[in-house]
Amino acid sequence: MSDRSNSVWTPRHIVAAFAVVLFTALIAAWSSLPARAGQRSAAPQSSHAMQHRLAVRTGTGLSTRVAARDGERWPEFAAASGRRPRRLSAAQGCDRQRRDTTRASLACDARIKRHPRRPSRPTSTASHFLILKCGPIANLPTRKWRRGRQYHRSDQHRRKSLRQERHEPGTLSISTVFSNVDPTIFSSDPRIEYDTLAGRWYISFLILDTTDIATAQKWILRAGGLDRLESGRRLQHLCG
Amino acid sequence: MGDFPDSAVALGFNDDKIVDRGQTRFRGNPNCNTGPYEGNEFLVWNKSELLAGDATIDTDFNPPAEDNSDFPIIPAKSRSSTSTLFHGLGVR
Repeated sequence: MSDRSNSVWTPRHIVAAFAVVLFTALIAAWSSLPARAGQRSAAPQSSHAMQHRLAVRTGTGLSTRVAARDGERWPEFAAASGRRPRRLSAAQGCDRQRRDTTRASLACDARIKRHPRRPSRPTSTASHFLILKCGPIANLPTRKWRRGRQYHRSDQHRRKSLRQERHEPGTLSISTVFSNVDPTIFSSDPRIEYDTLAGRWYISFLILDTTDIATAQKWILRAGGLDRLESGRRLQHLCG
Repeated sequence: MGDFPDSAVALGFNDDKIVDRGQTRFRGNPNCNTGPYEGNEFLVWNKSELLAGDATIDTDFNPPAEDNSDFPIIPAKSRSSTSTLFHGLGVR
């Protein structure tokens, strides 16, 4: 008998074995799809109803809706990230990376975009919240890479394209950010907080709107940011 | 005369809320933080509306005295996803 006739792996066996392996892989891939879908659906949702739990609560809560004062809109992240990124040269990319490093210092000299309509000085009749967008996603591990001619960045929360938009943010000093604050009127030290859940910065402080303590209203100035200071807007709220 | 949130603007946040708090005094004159202690006050913002830049934002203002025991109530900065906004009671 020849060696060929003694071999277990005839062409027919090989074809059959390959078909079995292919079929098994197909079944495995198909069965993993529902599991992935289940993981996605189990992800935490942030659209819970408002729930307020205080350690001690003896007073009466007043629910209100605060209206934007000057009508300036705060663009949503999803809409902003959907824009087509502008291509950057290598030099521009390096410059951007250097500036991003500067952002992490959080000094409000960081990358803060000049908002197009600077709020006017406060009047003595009402109090307001000034909402600004500012600040980078700092203090988070960031990785950058380049795919083609487009820069990408990843962090703990999301991955998005670095883009150079039509309104390239400038660098503002803290005195510019708070330029509508009258230095002759009492104000507190600003507080800057980073929200790891939202990936946003909040800046807030308290200020009165007149030197007459008997009639002054309280003001709080606030900024929250995605990755830069964009349009500012003012909200009206009587705080006390 | 109104009140004055001394030691104000300690921020807390979770999935859907941003909270300001103040340890409020009756407004003194000429120094507004020298009046008698009144208690804690809180201002709760709807976070999603605020971050999305909605034209109007729901708030929940809890004026003083939420607690007049002279203890500061500090809202927590949530580090993981939760719809409950926890507060800590400071004792000094």
